[in-house]
Amino acid sequence: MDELKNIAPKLSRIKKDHPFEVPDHYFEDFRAGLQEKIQSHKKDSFTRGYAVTLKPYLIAAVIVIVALVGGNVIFQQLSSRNSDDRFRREISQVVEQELYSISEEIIFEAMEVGITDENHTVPTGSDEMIDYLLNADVEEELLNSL
Amino acid sequence: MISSITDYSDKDLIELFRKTESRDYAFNLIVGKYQERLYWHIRKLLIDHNDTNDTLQNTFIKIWTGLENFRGDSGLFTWLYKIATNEALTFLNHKKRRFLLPLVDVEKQLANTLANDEYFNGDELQLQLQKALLTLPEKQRVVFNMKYFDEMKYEDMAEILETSVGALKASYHHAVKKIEKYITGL
Repeated sequence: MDELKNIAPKLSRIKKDHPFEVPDHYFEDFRAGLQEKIQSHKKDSFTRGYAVTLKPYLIAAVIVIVALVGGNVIFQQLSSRNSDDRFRREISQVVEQELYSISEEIIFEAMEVGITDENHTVPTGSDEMIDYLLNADVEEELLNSL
Repeated sequence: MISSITDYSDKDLIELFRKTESRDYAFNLIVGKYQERLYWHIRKLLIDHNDTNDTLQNTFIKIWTGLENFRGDSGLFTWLYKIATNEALTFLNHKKRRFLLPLVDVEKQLANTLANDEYFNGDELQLQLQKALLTLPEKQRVVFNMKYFDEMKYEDMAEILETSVGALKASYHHAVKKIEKYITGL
């Protein structure tokens, strides 16, 4: 206090009591008001806590739903692609089988007709066949392989 | 047999609060024990009663939320004071930002409202002292209030304000000088 008088003589002469007042019964009523606020805070924090607790589950649920929907889309695309492939394979099999089922006679007949139409003689022996192929400009390597 | 609030030590109150069945009761006792001291501490910083009331409520809500995890490294009162101080300073900063006013203007505004405040009953010199206080930086004002009005020990203040005793002594000394200069210059 003496130190204060030395460094701040005017200040040390001012009454030290704080000069503020509060409304009547403020402190008696304060607790009731605070209780209300605490109760609403408890409710808020309960809701917040609930949301925080549920958050990971919600995120997991969203991930599962997205995965399911995405998986389904991908599955649909893959299965449609597979069915296209399968269809193509089946078609080609049918075509192949159908071709095999055509007898050689029919093919020769067809060739005969075509050649006859173009006034060519049909090669019957293997020598004739080679000559025919030579005339038709078939490559020599292919002929050797025959 | 414990018969009144003052019969409970801070340690008793904390233990009571940690039990779910006596939590509300313990909290009521804590509010009853400390509401006035915390109110005046905040009021001296914020000046306005309504602002002080809001800040005190927020302070006790923070206390309610945090008391369960209070480790007891410092005394309960120190911890409560720390929360109240932080809440008051945060309120002041929000107020400054809300009104987009330069720092000094909020203090000027508070100084002007003091004279017409129905809950201010000081004499002319006390009014001048409050106005002088409003010219100080916030932290210096906190230090001055705690030392001058509350006559708190520097060691306790150091714990509350998380600063050194030396820095607090210097801060208080500067504050006293500035206030004296302000009052002398009138």
